[in-house]
Amino acid sequence: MASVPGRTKYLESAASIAVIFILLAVAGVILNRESRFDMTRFGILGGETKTSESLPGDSQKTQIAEASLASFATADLTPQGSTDAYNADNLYEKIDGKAPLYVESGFVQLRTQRFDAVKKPDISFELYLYDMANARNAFSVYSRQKRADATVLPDFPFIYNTTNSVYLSYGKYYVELVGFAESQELIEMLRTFARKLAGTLTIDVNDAAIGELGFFPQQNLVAGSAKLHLKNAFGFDGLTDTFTAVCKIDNQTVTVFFGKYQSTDEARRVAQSYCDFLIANGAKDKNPAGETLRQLKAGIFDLYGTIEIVFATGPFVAGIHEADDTTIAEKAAEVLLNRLNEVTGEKSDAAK
Amino acid sequence: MTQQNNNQFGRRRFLARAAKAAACAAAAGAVAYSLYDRRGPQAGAEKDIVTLPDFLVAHKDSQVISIVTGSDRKKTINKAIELLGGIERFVKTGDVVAIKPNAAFATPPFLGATTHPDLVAEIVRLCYKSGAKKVIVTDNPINDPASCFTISGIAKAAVQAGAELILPRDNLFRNTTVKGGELIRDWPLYYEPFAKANKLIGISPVKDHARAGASMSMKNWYGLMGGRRNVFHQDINKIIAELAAMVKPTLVILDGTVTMMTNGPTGGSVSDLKKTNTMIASCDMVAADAFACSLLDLKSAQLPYIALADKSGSGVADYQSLKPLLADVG
Amino acid sequence: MKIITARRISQTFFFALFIWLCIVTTIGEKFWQIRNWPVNWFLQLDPLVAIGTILSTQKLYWPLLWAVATIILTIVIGRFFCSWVCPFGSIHHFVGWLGNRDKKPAEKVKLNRYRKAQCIKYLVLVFLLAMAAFPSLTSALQTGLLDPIPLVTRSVNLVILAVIDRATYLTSVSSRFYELGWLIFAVFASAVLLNLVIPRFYCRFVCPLGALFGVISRFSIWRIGKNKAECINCKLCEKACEGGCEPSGNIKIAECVLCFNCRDDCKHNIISYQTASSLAGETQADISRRGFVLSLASGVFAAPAVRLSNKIGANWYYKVIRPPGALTEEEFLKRCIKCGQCMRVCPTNVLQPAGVEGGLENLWTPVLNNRIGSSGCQLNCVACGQVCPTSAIRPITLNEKRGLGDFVEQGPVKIGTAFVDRNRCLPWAMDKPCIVCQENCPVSPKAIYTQEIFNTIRDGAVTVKNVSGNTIEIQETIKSSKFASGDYYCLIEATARFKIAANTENAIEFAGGSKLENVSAGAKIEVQVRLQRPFVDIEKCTGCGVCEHECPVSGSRAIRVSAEGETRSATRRLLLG
Repeated sequence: MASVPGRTKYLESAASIAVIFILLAVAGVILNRESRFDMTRFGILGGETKTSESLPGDSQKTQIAEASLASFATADLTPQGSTDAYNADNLYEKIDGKAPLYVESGFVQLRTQRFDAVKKPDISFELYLYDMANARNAFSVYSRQKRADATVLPDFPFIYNTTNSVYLSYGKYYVELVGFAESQELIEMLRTFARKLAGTLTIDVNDAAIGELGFFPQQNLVAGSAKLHLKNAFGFDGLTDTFTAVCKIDNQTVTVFFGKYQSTDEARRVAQSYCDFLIANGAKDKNPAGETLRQLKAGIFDLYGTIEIVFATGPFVAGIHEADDTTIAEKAAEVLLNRLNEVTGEKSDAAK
Repeated sequence: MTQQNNNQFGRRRFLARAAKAAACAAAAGAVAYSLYDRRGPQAGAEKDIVTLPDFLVAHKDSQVISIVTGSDRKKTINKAIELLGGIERFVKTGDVVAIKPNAAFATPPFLGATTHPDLVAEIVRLCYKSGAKKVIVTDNPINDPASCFTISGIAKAAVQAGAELILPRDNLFRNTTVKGGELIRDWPLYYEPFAKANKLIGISPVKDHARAGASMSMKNWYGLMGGRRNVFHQDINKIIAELAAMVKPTLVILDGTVTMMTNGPTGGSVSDLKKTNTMIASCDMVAADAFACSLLDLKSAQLPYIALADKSGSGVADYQSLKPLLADVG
Repeated sequence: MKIITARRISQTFFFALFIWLCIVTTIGEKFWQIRNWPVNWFLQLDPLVAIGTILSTQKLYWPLLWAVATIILTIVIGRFFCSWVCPFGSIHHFVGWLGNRDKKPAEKVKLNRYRKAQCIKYLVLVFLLAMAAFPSLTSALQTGLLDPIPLVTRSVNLVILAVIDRATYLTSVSSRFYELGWLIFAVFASAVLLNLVIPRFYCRFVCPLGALFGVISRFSIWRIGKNKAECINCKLCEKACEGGCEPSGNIKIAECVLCFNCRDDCKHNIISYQTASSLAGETQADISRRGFVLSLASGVFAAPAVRLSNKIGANWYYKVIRPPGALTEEEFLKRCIKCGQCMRVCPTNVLQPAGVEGGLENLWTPVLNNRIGSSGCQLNCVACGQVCPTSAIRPITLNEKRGLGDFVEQGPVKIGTAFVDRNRCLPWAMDKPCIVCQENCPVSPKAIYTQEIFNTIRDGAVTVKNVSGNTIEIQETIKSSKFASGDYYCLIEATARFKIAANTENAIEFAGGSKLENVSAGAKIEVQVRLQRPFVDIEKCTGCGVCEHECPVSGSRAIRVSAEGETRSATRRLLLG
């Protein structure tokens, strides 16, 4: 191209550079915009649940609060990665073979989030927040997974720690704080975290009380030993919502249980089926030594060397499970019976 | 003179052309010969259905299963493999070895829910020492494989030992049907990394399992299932037996150094674990599981899938009859 | 810097941006996935999309406001879009250059001469706009067929990327499929290859958007033209003329795409970008009045003509299952520009370009084909509405789709209803147990329910030989182990029914606890299969198609979704009231 007059050349360059700047501005605006995204507009497929609605397959209308658990970070703890949420369909992706344990106990949703200690990055833990729909379900999964070396803590009615983790049942939530190191400092951090977490979660206080725990004979009860089996207690599907606990009678431990049913008739039916079940599985029927149990028509069995006692009183099916000694077992049964009668009496008093 | 030159020229050109023609003809003949198909196409199975290759090595009656006690994984595994004939019996020069550890959870090694990275590293090292061309380490954890491999420490251990870490992707799955199986029919199988290998080693910890009773060497192959594999939990014993029929590994290593006694398969508390200091190497995974029950204070009769797998011929439940080789390295 | 350098940089930038936006149109949070990338920006900048939808709907959908910017800029500076921004134009420019760069200048000048046929694109424009206008006579928006931005978007998204993915898994871990992809490819390939015949063939002869720009750049402040009268007519300016506008003589200003190649090639500085008209003369778009009127009339007539088959009314094609959030069919066809974005983003690959069975206008509009892809319409996904540039598919929220939150009274969006084909369904027609459809139905409570029925199997009448414990020996033989799956029962003496646990050829074993005390030798047994026959609850079914997708009768599926019952249409409801 022949030499272009100076002014035109200047204008041309200016225009060209201006275009380049416009392109850069376009690129800048686009890059800025794309990093501020909200995946939930594509539905749950795109991101976490932020809408207040039920997850698929959930027939109960539970409100899911602010989904991200990163907000539980403190000055000492910083979140790692993002909050993951799981429902009954994909819970197995996170906890594999343990999923049926929860799904069969009323599981609604699990949210997990990892945290690192700010000052010590190799101290970290993972928060598992299970929404179990109601306090009894939560207590059930909490109690059935209680470790042998559990140290019961005073912070809440249902909380214990092991050498690396803290576990608690709070209202409808079952919470696991799984520490990735064994350290007392970590345990203290987890306890503080648990207190803060509980302060933020809304629970139904009436539901959380689990009054049935008071139905155990209080002076004999070994603290923190109570468990709730929602179904299939002792392998028998007729026993539902059964509470078990360890009691101390004459310095020996024995497992007691009870479950409440709709009516006295139903309790008797269930007690009878359980007795049939024990016999079908090889238990030998014995006669109760004590008068009280005999009058109650309680069943007492020897199941391959351990003693089982089953009786119905009012709407309760109750008894003793896997006891070693018949005398202790019968004594425990009577103590339990008295307590249950006391409770029913109190209740009917209150009703009056 | 010119004519003579022309003739010579012509002849030379003719010869050149004739030689090229002959070469082409010969090439045509050679191609036809190499591709010759006398039989014609056969009625084949669905191309879409694959089966895992058979990774077994020659059976030796006296060297089927070894059990070594000791607290140091490196020492116990070396002794266990040595008792079975040394790594050279299993891995030959030029082999491509696939290693399938348990990387199912994003938990650190000290919680015992995943295969210990030190063990993975040692096996990889042994394979290379025995002349393997390539060692692959892979598993299908479903949930965020990257973080599972990282947090369990297996990624770092594998890569540092020189293995290739493969994370699962959709296009690495093919459908499979287990012969005689009722559950694994036309089901997605994590296939491609194993199709490329000619030896397969499974490495798993000994764990309690809420549904199955125990998760040991046979259950380890659950990690090869794709799709919504949780449906199989409804018939857990049958699926484990079918997995045992589906996979014919070269060797299984069952790490009972630390056993998860309660709250498996995830655990979560150190108190769920017990130091049982036992390492098992076996060419028979049914026998390995049958023995390892004792580490969980279980009897093999309490795990129905062991009997099922024995019945379908995947191994021998009566491990004593296989004359296990025992040792202690302290 | 030379202006043509700036132009080349601009072309490269916008082309790369376009390709990048196509690649990122995948659901996900990573940098190379959708996040908040403005994946519709080119479609929003396209004035033909805006004007087309304005004509057919009498409204300007708010994101299309970008088109106003393009229009205003074109009015002021001329037809810059074609050679500075348009990605399709850049492809043509490049291929045209590639195919002709070895030719001599004289040949190139000849190729770039102005041709009268360049007026065809104006007639195409008028025709398409006329089809869209006059809604009282039924308007149909078919601009998407030839509008270059939707055309190149669907070609790259549905064909180029899909083919590349097959080999490299670049944007999708599993292969994506699109029906009629071959046709989309054929159109694209033809347009691109024609550049080897005449450079920028599509731009000069076909492109209705270029025609639109040509018309509205009539009053541009600056234009290309000669600034001196002394021109030796060497015609070097036309050597690389992209628009075929004849800058050497009477410049056809509507054809000029502002490539500035003429200015760069002129050795005498005679060509410039100036406010005055070219000293050698300037003419506007060459459309004869006759041509204009004919195109207009054809367009106005064509729209209702295309509707004669009443595919919008009673003769509607029931396999046209539209995505959730789609407007009523008539409104939908006024907005859909066949850009393919919804099909591209759909995570299950169930949205497919339609053929013409639903009418000519249906071509390349999105319909669901439940046999393709990974699972029917996902329960918790509303991605398609989020990427539709014209709101032919409304951007509904998840709550609206599922009938939750504020939409509980309204109920969920239904796109159709599943119908069980009892002639093909295994438990209905073949006495084979199967409840895959019911198991996979994602709504809660399920829209597929089953009724239990026991049918005596073929050759299922047997007689008792003797009974011992849980096992009955029979006199006849049956297939060994065939009845152990848990679906088979024995009906004994037409009164008591027991589940079969296992069987051999001559004996049937029942589950523990079966009370066989009353069974004696000679008793009649019917071996029965327990079938759970599926029924569809049409009040609950949303037509998502997961059942059809999972049905093991994999050819013509035993449960199929068709569009009856879709909530977007008042006339196609299945239920009264």
